[in-house]
Amino acid sequence: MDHAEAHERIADLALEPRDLEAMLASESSDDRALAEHVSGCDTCRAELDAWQGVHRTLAGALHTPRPGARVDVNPIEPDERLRAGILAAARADRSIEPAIPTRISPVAIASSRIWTPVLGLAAALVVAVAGTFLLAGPGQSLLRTVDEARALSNVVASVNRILAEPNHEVATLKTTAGQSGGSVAWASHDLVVLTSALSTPGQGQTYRCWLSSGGTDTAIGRMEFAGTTAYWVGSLDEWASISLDPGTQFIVSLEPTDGSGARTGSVVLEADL
Amino acid sequence: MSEREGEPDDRVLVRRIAAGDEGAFELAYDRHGSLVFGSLVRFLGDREAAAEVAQDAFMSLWRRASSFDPAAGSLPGWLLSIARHRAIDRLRGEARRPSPGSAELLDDLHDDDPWRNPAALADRNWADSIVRTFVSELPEHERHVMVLAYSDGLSQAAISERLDMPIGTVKSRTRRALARLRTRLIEVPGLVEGLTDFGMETAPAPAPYRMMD
Repeated sequence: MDHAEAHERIADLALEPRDLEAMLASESSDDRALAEHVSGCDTCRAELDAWQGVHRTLAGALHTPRPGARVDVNPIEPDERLRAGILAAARADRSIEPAIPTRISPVAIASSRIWTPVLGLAAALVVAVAGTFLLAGPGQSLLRTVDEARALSNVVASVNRILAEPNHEVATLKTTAGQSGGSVAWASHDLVVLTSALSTPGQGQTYRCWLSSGGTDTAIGRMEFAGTTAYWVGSLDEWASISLDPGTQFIVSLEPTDGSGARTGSVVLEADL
Repeated sequence: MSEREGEPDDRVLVRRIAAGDEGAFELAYDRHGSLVFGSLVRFLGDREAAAEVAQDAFMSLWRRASSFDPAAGSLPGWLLSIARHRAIDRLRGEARRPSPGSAELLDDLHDDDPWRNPAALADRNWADSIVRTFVSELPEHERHVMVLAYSDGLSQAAISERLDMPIGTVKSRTRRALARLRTRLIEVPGLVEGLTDFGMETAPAPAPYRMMD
Protein backbone atom coordinates (compact mmCIF):
# COMPACT_ATOMS: atom_id res chain seq x y z
CA MET A 1 0.00 0.00 0.00
CA ASP A 2 1.46 3.39 -0.96
CA HIS A 3 1.40 6.52 1.16
CA ALA A 4 -1.50 8.28 -0.58
CA GLU A 5 -3.63 5.16 -0.42
CA ALA A 6 -2.83 4.70 3.26
CA HIS A 7 -3.66 8.30 4.03
CA GLU A 8 -7.01 7.98 2.29
CA ARG A 9 -7.77 4.75 4.10
CA ILE A 10 -7.01 6.31 7.49
CA ALA A 11 -9.34 9.20 6.66
CA ASP A 12 -12.11 6.69 5.89
CA LEU A 13 -11.47 4.71 9.04
CA ALA A 14 -11.49 7.92 11.06
CA LEU A 15 -15.21 8.21 10.41
CA GLU A 16 -15.83 5.21 12.60
CA PRO A 17 -13.95 5.19 15.92
CA ARG A 18 -14.16 1.42 16.30
CA ASP A 19 -12.77 0.84 12.81
CA LEU A 20 -9.50 2.52 13.71
CA GLU A 21 -8.98 0.23 16.67
CA ALA A 22 -10.19 -2.81 14.81
CA MET A 23 -7.88 -2.20 11.88
CA LEU A 24 -4.77 -2.73 13.97
CA ALA A 25 -5.99 -6.12 15.14
CA SER A 26 -7.65 -7.17 11.92
CA GLU A 27 -6.52 -10.15 9.88
CA SER A 28 -7.95 -8.87 6.59
CA SER A 29 -5.40 -8.33 3.86
CA ASP A 30 -6.35 -4.65 3.39
CA ASP A 31 -6.00 -3.89 7.07
CA ARG A 32 -2.74 -5.83 7.34
CA ALA A 33 -1.36 -3.86 4.40
CA LEU A 34 -2.33 -0.60 6.05
CA ALA A 35 -0.93 -1.65 9.41
CA GLU A 36 2.30 -2.62 7.71
CA HIS A 37 2.55 0.77 5.98
CA VAL A 38 1.76 2.66 9.18
CA SER A 39 4.42 0.81 11.11
CA GLY A 40 7.06 2.10 8.70
CA CYS A 41 5.68 5.59 7.98
CA ASP A 42 6.01 8.27 10.66
CA THR A 43 3.57 10.60 8.93
CA CYS A 44 0.80 8.01 8.71
CA ARG A 45 1.56 6.81 12.23
CA ALA A 46 1.17 10.39 13.48
CA GLU A 47 -2.04 10.79 11.49
CA LEU A 48 -3.47 7.58 12.89
CA ASP A 49 -2.48 8.51 16.43
CA ALA A 50 -3.97 11.98 15.99
CA TRP A 51 -7.33 10.57 14.94
CA GLN A 52 -7.28 8.11 17.81
CA GLY A 53 -6.62 11.02 20.16
CA VAL A 54 -9.51 13.00 18.69
CA HIS A 55 -11.84 10.01 19.07
CA ARG A 56 -10.79 9.42 22.67
CA THR A 57 -11.30 13.09 23.48
CA LEU A 58 -14.73 13.24 21.87
CA ALA A 59 -15.83 9.97 23.42
CA GLY A 60 -14.66 11.12 26.85
CA ALA A 61 -16.48 14.43 26.58
CA LEU A 62 -19.69 13.26 24.95
CA HIS A 63 -20.30 9.84 26.44
CA THR A 64 -22.02 9.45 29.76
CA PRO A 65 -22.31 6.10 31.49
CA ARG A 66 -25.87 6.83 32.58
CA PRO A 67 -28.24 4.80 30.42
CA GLY A 68 -30.32 6.95 28.12
CA ALA A 69 -28.60 10.15 29.24
CA ARG A 70 -26.96 12.59 26.85
CA VAL A 71 -24.48 15.35 27.44
CA ASP A 72 -25.92 18.75 26.62
CA VAL A 73 -24.12 20.18 23.61
CA ASN A 74 -26.63 22.85 22.72
CA PRO A 75 -25.03 26.25 22.09
CA ILE A 76 -24.63 28.53 25.11
CA GLU A 77 -24.44 32.15 24.05
CA PRO A 78 -23.51 35.08 26.28
CA ASP A 79 -26.08 37.84 26.33
CA GLU A 80 -25.43 41.29 24.99
CA ARG A 81 -24.96 42.72 28.50
CA LEU A 82 -21.73 40.75 28.95
CA ARG A 83 -20.34 42.14 25.72
CA ALA A 84 -21.32 45.68 26.69
CA GLY A 85 -19.89 45.22 30.16
CA ILE A 86 -16.53 43.92 28.97
CA LEU A 87 -16.16 46.68 26.38
CA ALA A 88 -17.14 49.32 28.95
CA ALA A 89 -14.65 47.85 31.42
CA ALA A 90 -11.88 48.07 28.83
CA ARG A 91 -12.71 51.69 28.09
CA ALA A 92 -12.83 52.54 31.79
CA ASP A 93 -9.62 50.63 32.36
CA ARG A 94 -7.81 52.80 29.88
CA SER A 95 -9.10 56.02 31.46
CA ILE A 96 -7.92 54.82 34.86
CA GLU A 97 -4.39 53.74 34.32
CA PRO A 98 -2.24 56.23 32.49
CA ALA A 99 -4.68 59.07 31.96
CA ILE A 100 -5.66 60.25 35.40
CA PRO A 101 -2.32 60.83 37.07
CA THR A 102 -0.81 62.52 34.04
CA ARG A 103 -3.77 64.81 33.51
CA ILE A 104 -4.31 65.80 37.09
CA SER A 105 -0.74 66.21 38.24
CA PRO A 106 0.38 69.08 35.98
CA VAL A 107 -2.64 71.15 36.93
CA ALA A 108 -2.06 70.31 40.54
CA ILE A 109 1.38 71.81 40.31
CA ALA A 110 0.15 74.87 38.43
CA SER A 111 -2.58 75.76 40.89
CA SER A 112 -1.88 73.68 43.88
CA ARG A 113 -2.90 76.28 46.44
CA ILE A 114 -6.64 75.93 46.12
CA TRP A 115 -6.85 72.62 44.31
CA THR A 116 -5.15 70.47 46.85
CA PRO A 117 -8.36 69.15 48.43
CA VAL A 118 -10.00 68.51 45.07
CA LEU A 119 -7.00 66.60 43.82
CA GLY A 120 -6.77 64.52 46.94
CA LEU A 121 -10.41 63.56 46.67
CA ALA A 122 -10.15 62.98 42.96
CA ALA A 123 -7.24 60.66 43.63
CA ALA A 124 -9.44 58.80 46.08
CA LEU A 125 -12.00 58.41 43.33
CA VAL A 126 -9.38 57.10 40.95
CA VAL A 127 -8.54 54.46 43.50
CA ALA A 128 -12.24 53.73 43.90
CA VAL A 129 -12.73 53.35 40.16
CA ALA A 130 -9.83 50.94 39.91
CA GLY A 131 -10.95 49.12 43.04
CA THR A 132 -14.42 48.66 41.68
CA PHE A 133 -12.99 46.50 38.93
CA LEU A 134 -9.97 44.97 40.53
CA LEU A 135 -11.42 44.12 43.89
CA ALA A 136 -14.94 43.13 42.93
CA GLY A 137 -15.61 40.02 44.98
CA PRO A 138 -17.19 36.81 43.78
CA GLY A 139 -20.58 37.93 45.00
CA GLN A 140 -20.40 41.28 43.29
CA SER A 141 -22.78 41.56 40.39
CA LEU A 142 -20.90 42.13 37.19
CA LEU A 143 -23.48 44.59 35.95
CA ARG A 144 -23.49 46.51 39.21
CA THR A 145 -19.71 46.63 39.11
CA VAL A 146 -19.77 47.96 35.59
CA ASP A 147 -22.43 50.54 36.45
CA GLU A 148 -20.51 51.77 39.50
CA ALA A 149 -17.23 51.95 37.64
CA ARG A 150 -18.88 53.77 34.77
CA ALA A 151 -20.38 56.32 37.17
CA LEU A 152 -17.05 56.87 38.90
CA SER A 153 -15.27 57.17 35.58
CA ASN A 154 -17.73 59.91 34.65
CA VAL A 155 -16.83 61.80 37.81
CA VAL A 156 -13.12 61.53 37.12
CA ALA A 157 -13.68 62.59 33.52
CA SER A 158 -15.61 65.65 34.74
CA VAL A 159 -12.76 66.55 37.10
CA ASN A 160 -10.37 66.31 34.18
CA ARG A 161 -12.52 68.56 32.01
CA ILE A 162 -12.81 71.15 34.78
CA LEU A 163 -9.08 71.15 35.41
CA ALA A 164 -8.41 71.58 31.71
CA GLU A 165 -10.38 74.85 31.56
CA PRO A 166 -8.41 77.96 32.55
CA ASN A 167 -11.49 79.69 33.91
CA HIS A 168 -12.54 76.94 36.25
CA GLU A 169 -13.66 77.89 39.72
CA VAL A 170 -13.63 76.23 43.07
CA ALA A 171 -15.28 76.81 46.42
CA THR A 172 -14.56 75.16 49.71
CA LEU A 173 -17.27 73.09 51.34
CA LYS A 174 -17.53 73.72 55.05
CA THR A 175 -19.12 71.75 57.81
CA THR A 176 -21.54 73.42 60.22
CA ALA A 177 -18.59 73.74 62.59
CA GLY A 178 -16.78 75.81 59.97
CA GLN A 179 -14.21 73.19 59.11
CA SER A 180 -13.15 72.48 55.55
CA GLY A 181 -15.00 69.41 54.33
CA GLY A 182 -14.40 69.19 50.60
CA SER A 183 -14.78 71.20 47.41
CA VAL A 184 -17.22 72.30 44.77
CA ALA A 185 -15.54 72.78 41.42
CA TRP A 186 -17.06 73.90 38.17
CA ALA A 187 -16.25 75.14 34.72
CA SER A 188 -18.31 75.80 31.61
CA HIS A 189 -19.92 72.37 31.39
CA ASP A 190 -19.36 70.48 34.62
CA LEU A 191 -19.86 70.83 38.31
CA VAL A 192 -18.31 68.31 40.68
CA VAL A 193 -18.75 68.06 44.41
CA LEU A 194 -16.26 65.97 46.34
CA THR A 195 -16.16 65.47 50.07
CA SER A 196 -14.80 63.07 52.62
CA ALA A 197 -16.66 64.71 55.47
CA LEU A 198 -19.85 62.68 55.18
CA SER A 199 -20.56 59.37 56.81
CA THR A 200 -22.81 56.86 55.11
CA PRO A 201 -26.44 57.94 55.67
CA GLY A 202 -28.69 55.79 57.78
CA GLN A 203 -31.46 53.66 56.32
CA GLY A 204 -34.20 55.81 54.85
CA GLN A 205 -31.91 58.83 54.65
CA THR A 206 -29.95 60.48 51.87
CA TYR A 207 -27.76 63.50 51.34
CA ARG A 208 -29.37 65.96 48.94
CA CYS A 209 -27.67 68.79 47.11
CA TRP A 210 -29.26 72.23 46.77
CA LEU A 211 -28.54 75.56 45.22
CA SER A 212 -29.81 78.32 47.47
CA SER A 213 -30.25 81.88 46.24
CA GLY A 214 -32.52 84.72 47.34
CA GLY A 215 -34.22 82.51 49.90
CA THR A 216 -35.12 79.84 47.33
CA ASP A 217 -33.69 76.33 47.44
CA THR A 218 -33.46 74.28 44.26
CA ALA A 219 -32.78 70.55 44.57
CA ILE A 220 -30.14 69.41 42.08
CA GLY A 221 -29.22 65.89 43.13
CA ARG A 222 -28.15 63.37 45.73
CA MET A 223 -24.67 62.52 46.90
CA GLU A 224 -23.21 59.14 45.92
CA PHE A 225 -20.49 57.26 47.78
CA ALA A 226 -17.28 55.66 46.53
CA GLY A 227 -15.46 54.27 49.53
CA THR A 228 -15.09 57.10 52.02
CA THR A 229 -15.50 59.78 49.36
CA ALA A 230 -18.90 61.19 48.53
CA TYR A 231 -19.50 62.93 45.24
CA TRP A 232 -22.03 64.54 43.02
CA VAL A 233 -21.47 65.48 39.43
CA GLY A 234 -23.72 67.38 37.07
CA SER A 235 -23.58 69.06 33.74
CA LEU A 236 -24.28 72.76 33.67
CA ASP A 237 -26.36 72.12 30.59
CA GLU A 238 -28.85 70.23 32.73
CA TRP A 239 -29.60 73.17 34.95
CA ALA A 240 -28.54 76.07 32.81
CA SER A 241 -31.61 78.01 33.83
CA ILE A 242 -30.22 78.25 37.34
CA SER A 243 -28.16 81.36 37.64
CA LEU A 244 -25.05 81.21 39.73
CA ASP A 245 -25.38 84.73 40.98
CA PRO A 246 -22.97 86.03 43.55
CA GLY A 247 -24.27 84.97 46.93
CA THR A 248 -25.53 81.61 45.69
CA GLN A 249 -24.86 78.84 48.16
CA PHE A 250 -24.33 75.15 47.56
CA ILE A 251 -25.87 73.14 50.36
CA VAL A 252 -25.84 69.48 51.33
CA SER A 253 -28.51 68.39 53.78
CA LEU A 254 -29.52 65.09 55.30
CA GLU A 255 -33.04 64.31 54.14
CA PRO A 256 -35.51 61.41 54.20
CA THR A 257 -35.11 59.26 51.10
CA ASP A 258 -38.75 59.77 50.22
CA GLY A 259 -38.73 63.47 51.09
CA SER A 260 -40.52 66.12 49.08
CA GLY A 261 -38.94 68.75 46.85
CA ALA A 262 -38.45 71.07 49.82
CA ARG A 263 -35.43 71.12 52.08
CA THR A 264 -36.47 69.99 55.54
CA GLY A 265 -33.40 68.23 56.93
CA SER A 266 -30.38 69.63 58.67
CA VAL A 267 -27.57 71.26 56.66
CA VAL A 268 -24.34 69.27 56.91
CA LEU A 269 -22.16 71.04 54.35
CA GLU A 270 -22.30 74.35 52.54
CA ALA A 271 -20.20 76.48 50.21
CA ASP A 272 -20.41 80.05 48.98
CA LEU A 273 -20.23 79.95 45.19
CA MET B 1 -17.41 32.65 15.96
CA SER B 2 -14.49 31.92 13.66
CA GLU B 3 -12.47 34.33 11.57
CA ARG B 4 -14.32 35.77 8.59
CA GLU B 5 -12.83 36.50 5.22
CA GLY B 6 -11.24 39.92 5.11
CA GLU B 7 -10.96 40.21 8.88
CA PRO B 8 -7.53 40.42 10.51
CA ASP B 9 -6.25 37.17 11.98
CA ASP B 10 -5.74 36.75 15.70
CA ARG B 11 -2.06 37.66 15.59
CA VAL B 12 -2.86 41.01 14.01
CA LEU B 13 -5.73 41.53 16.45
CA VAL B 14 -3.51 40.96 19.47
CA ARG B 15 -0.89 43.39 18.17
CA ARG B 16 -3.60 46.02 17.74
CA ILE B 17 -5.03 45.32 21.18
CA ALA B 18 -1.56 45.74 22.68
CA ALA B 19 -1.50 49.16 21.02
CA GLY B 20 -4.83 50.03 22.66
CA ASP B 21 -7.15 49.45 19.69
CA GLU B 22 -10.66 49.05 21.15
CA GLY B 23 -12.07 47.90 17.81
CA ALA B 24 -9.62 45.01 17.73
CA PHE B 25 -10.56 44.09 21.28
CA GLU B 26 -14.23 44.13 20.31
CA LEU B 27 -13.54 41.86 17.36
CA ALA B 28 -11.55 39.48 19.56
CA TYR B 29 -14.51 39.26 21.94
CA ASP B 30 -16.95 38.66 19.09
CA ARG B 31 -14.68 35.94 17.74
CA HIS B 32 -13.92 34.08 20.97
CA GLY B 33 -16.41 35.30 23.58
CA SER B 34 -18.89 32.47 23.03
CA LEU B 35 -16.19 29.79 23.32
CA VAL B 36 -14.84 31.23 26.58
CA PHE B 37 -18.27 31.90 28.07
CA GLY B 38 -19.78 28.59 26.95
CA SER B 39 -16.86 26.62 28.37
CA LEU B 40 -17.10 28.50 31.65
CA VAL B 41 -20.84 27.98 31.99
CA ARG B 42 -20.37 24.26 31.44
CA PHE B 43 -17.51 24.15 33.93
CA LEU B 44 -18.93 26.38 36.66
CA GLY B 45 -22.60 25.59 36.11
CA ASP B 46 -23.49 29.25 36.71
CA ARG B 47 -23.97 31.91 34.04
CA GLU B 48 -23.33 34.82 36.40
CA ALA B 49 -20.07 33.34 37.68
CA ALA B 50 -19.08 32.46 34.13
CA ALA B 51 -19.71 36.04 33.02
CA GLU B 52 -17.44 37.38 35.75
CA VAL B 53 -14.61 34.98 34.93
CA ALA B 54 -15.02 35.66 31.20
CA GLN B 55 -14.68 39.35 31.93
CA ASP B 56 -11.49 38.67 33.90
CA ALA B 57 -10.07 36.68 31.00
CA PHE B 58 -10.82 39.35 28.42
CA MET B 59 -9.54 42.12 30.69
CA SER B 60 -6.30 40.16 30.99
CA LEU B 61 -6.11 40.19 27.22
CA TRP B 62 -6.76 43.94 27.19
CA ARG B 63 -4.09 44.65 29.78
CA ARG B 64 -1.49 42.06 28.85
CA ALA B 65 -1.85 41.57 25.12
CA SER B 66 1.81 42.44 24.65
CA SER B 67 2.77 39.31 26.63
CA PHE B 68 0.97 37.02 24.19
CA ASP B 69 3.36 35.04 22.00
CA PRO B 70 1.53 33.78 18.90
CA ALA B 71 4.36 31.38 18.17
CA ALA B 72 3.60 29.55 21.40
CA GLY B 73 -0.14 29.09 20.97
CA SER B 74 -3.43 30.38 19.72
CA LEU B 75 -5.44 33.30 21.10
CA PRO B 76 -8.42 31.11 22.09
CA GLY B 77 -5.99 28.74 23.80
CA TRP B 78 -4.50 31.68 25.69
CA LEU B 79 -7.89 33.04 26.73
CA LEU B 80 -9.07 29.60 27.83
CA SER B 81 -5.89 29.10 29.83
CA ILE B 82 -6.52 32.33 31.74
CA ALA B 83 -10.19 31.46 32.18
CA ARG B 84 -9.32 28.02 33.51
CA HIS B 85 -7.03 29.41 36.20
CA ARG B 86 -9.54 32.06 37.23
CA ALA B 87 -12.37 29.54 37.30
CA ILE B 88 -10.41 27.05 39.40
CA ASP B 89 -9.35 29.83 41.77
CA ARG B 90 -12.99 30.73 42.09
CA LEU B 91 -13.98 27.16 42.84
CA ARG B 92 -11.22 26.86 45.41
CA GLY B 93 -12.42 30.07 47.01
CA GLU B 94 -15.93 28.82 47.19
CA ALA B 95 -14.78 25.33 48.22
CA ARG B 96 -17.11 23.84 45.69
CA ARG B 97 -16.88 20.77 43.56
CA PRO B 98 -16.06 21.60 39.95
CA SER B 99 -19.69 21.63 38.87
CA PRO B 100 -23.01 19.95 39.43
CA GLY B 101 -22.13 17.71 36.49
CA SER B 102 -18.94 16.66 38.23
CA ALA B 103 -20.88 15.60 41.28
CA GLU B 104 -22.84 13.23 39.07
CA LEU B 105 -19.63 12.07 37.48
CA LEU B 106 -18.19 11.26 40.88
CA ASP B 107 -21.18 9.05 41.57
CA ASP B 108 -20.32 7.05 38.48
CA LEU B 109 -16.75 6.43 39.53
CA HIS B 110 -15.28 3.67 41.61
CA ASP B 111 -13.44 4.49 44.80
CA ASP B 112 -10.09 3.58 43.30
CA ASP B 113 -10.63 5.63 40.17
CA PRO B 114 -7.87 8.21 39.72
CA TRP B 115 -10.47 10.79 38.74
CA ARG B 116 -11.47 10.96 42.38
CA ASN B 117 -8.47 13.26 42.67
CA PRO B 118 -10.15 16.72 42.74
CA ALA B 119 -7.43 18.42 40.68
CA ALA B 120 -7.56 15.72 38.02
CA LEU B 121 -11.32 15.84 38.07
CA ALA B 122 -11.26 19.62 37.57
CA ASP B 123 -8.81 19.25 34.68
CA ARG B 124 -10.94 16.60 33.03
CA ASN B 125 -14.13 18.58 33.59
CA TRP B 126 -12.53 21.70 32.11
CA ALA B 127 -11.34 19.79 29.05
CA ASP B 128 -14.77 18.22 28.60
CA SER B 129 -16.38 21.66 28.91
CA ILE B 130 -14.26 23.01 26.09
CA VAL B 131 -14.83 19.99 23.86
CA ARG B 132 -18.59 20.15 24.40
CA THR B 133 -18.50 23.84 23.54
CA PHE B 134 -16.60 23.07 20.35
CA VAL B 135 -19.25 20.48 19.48
CA SER B 136 -21.98 23.02 20.26
CA GLU B 137 -20.46 25.35 17.65
CA LEU B 138 -21.04 22.82 14.86
CA PRO B 139 -23.92 23.28 12.45
CA GLU B 140 -26.92 21.51 13.93
CA HIS B 141 -27.00 18.67 11.39
CA GLU B 142 -23.34 17.89 12.03
CA ARG B 143 -23.78 18.19 15.77
CA HIS B 144 -26.58 15.66 15.60
CA VAL B 145 -24.48 12.95 13.95
CA MET B 146 -21.66 13.59 16.44
CA VAL B 147 -24.03 13.06 19.36
CA LEU B 148 -25.40 9.89 17.84
CA ALA B 149 -21.88 8.56 17.21
CA TYR B 150 -20.16 9.51 20.46
CA SER B 151 -22.96 9.87 22.98
CA ASP B 152 -25.18 7.06 21.76
CA GLY B 153 -22.32 5.00 20.35
CA LEU B 154 -24.01 4.37 17.00
CA SER B 155 -22.14 3.30 13.89
CA GLN B 156 -22.46 5.24 10.64
CA ALA B 157 -24.85 2.60 9.34
CA ALA B 158 -26.96 2.78 12.49
CA ILE B 159 -27.09 6.58 12.29
CA SER B 160 -28.18 6.29 8.67
CA GLU B 161 -30.97 3.97 9.70
CA ARG B 162 -31.97 6.06 12.72
CA LEU B 163 -32.19 9.25 10.67
CA ASP B 164 -33.54 7.53 7.57
CA MET B 165 -30.75 9.19 5.66
CA PRO B 166 -28.37 7.86 2.97
CA ILE B 167 -25.15 6.51 4.46
CA GLY B 168 -23.18 8.82 2.14
CA THR B 169 -24.84 11.86 3.71
CA VAL B 170 -24.06 10.62 7.20
CA LYS B 171 -20.43 10.05 6.26
CA SER B 172 -19.99 13.44 4.65
CA ARG B 173 -21.49 15.18 7.67
CA THR B 174 -19.30 13.16 10.00
CA ARG B 175 -16.23 13.90 7.91
CA ARG B 176 -16.89 17.64 7.94
CA ALA B 177 -17.67 17.67 11.66
CA LEU B 178 -14.51 15.75 12.54
CA ALA B 179 -12.37 18.02 10.39
CA ARG B 180 -13.80 21.12 12.08
CA LEU B 181 -13.39 19.63 15.53
CA ARG B 182 -9.84 18.50 14.92
CA THR B 183 -8.92 22.03 13.81
CA ARG B 184 -10.50 23.48 16.93
CA LEU B 185 -9.01 20.91 19.29
CA ILE B 186 -5.53 21.77 18.05
CA GLU B 187 -6.03 25.36 19.24
CA VAL B 188 -6.00 24.30 22.89
CA PRO B 189 -2.76 22.66 23.97
CA GLY B 190 -3.18 19.52 26.01
CA LEU B 191 -6.81 18.99 25.11
CA VAL B 192 -5.94 16.03 22.93
CA GLU B 193 -2.80 14.50 24.33
CA GLY B 194 0.12 15.52 22.14
CA LEU B 195 -2.02 16.69 19.22
CA THR B 196 -0.46 19.61 17.38
CA ASP B 197 -0.61 21.06 13.88
CA PHE B 198 1.93 18.46 12.91
CA GLY B 199 0.29 15.43 14.39
CA MET B 200 1.31 13.81 17.62
CA GLU B 201 4.10 15.34 19.59
CA THR B 202 4.79 15.16 23.26
CA ALA B 203 5.78 18.60 24.43
CA PRO B 204 5.33 20.64 27.60
CA ALA B 205 2.80 23.46 27.59
CA PRO B 206 4.24 26.54 25.90
CA ALA B 207 5.40 29.44 28.02
CA PRO B 208 2.31 31.66 27.82
CA TYR B 209 0.15 28.96 29.33
CA ARG B 210 2.49 28.26 32.20
CA MET B 211 2.89 31.98 32.78
CA MET B 212 -0.74 32.31 33.79
CA ASP B 213 -0.41 29.83 36.67
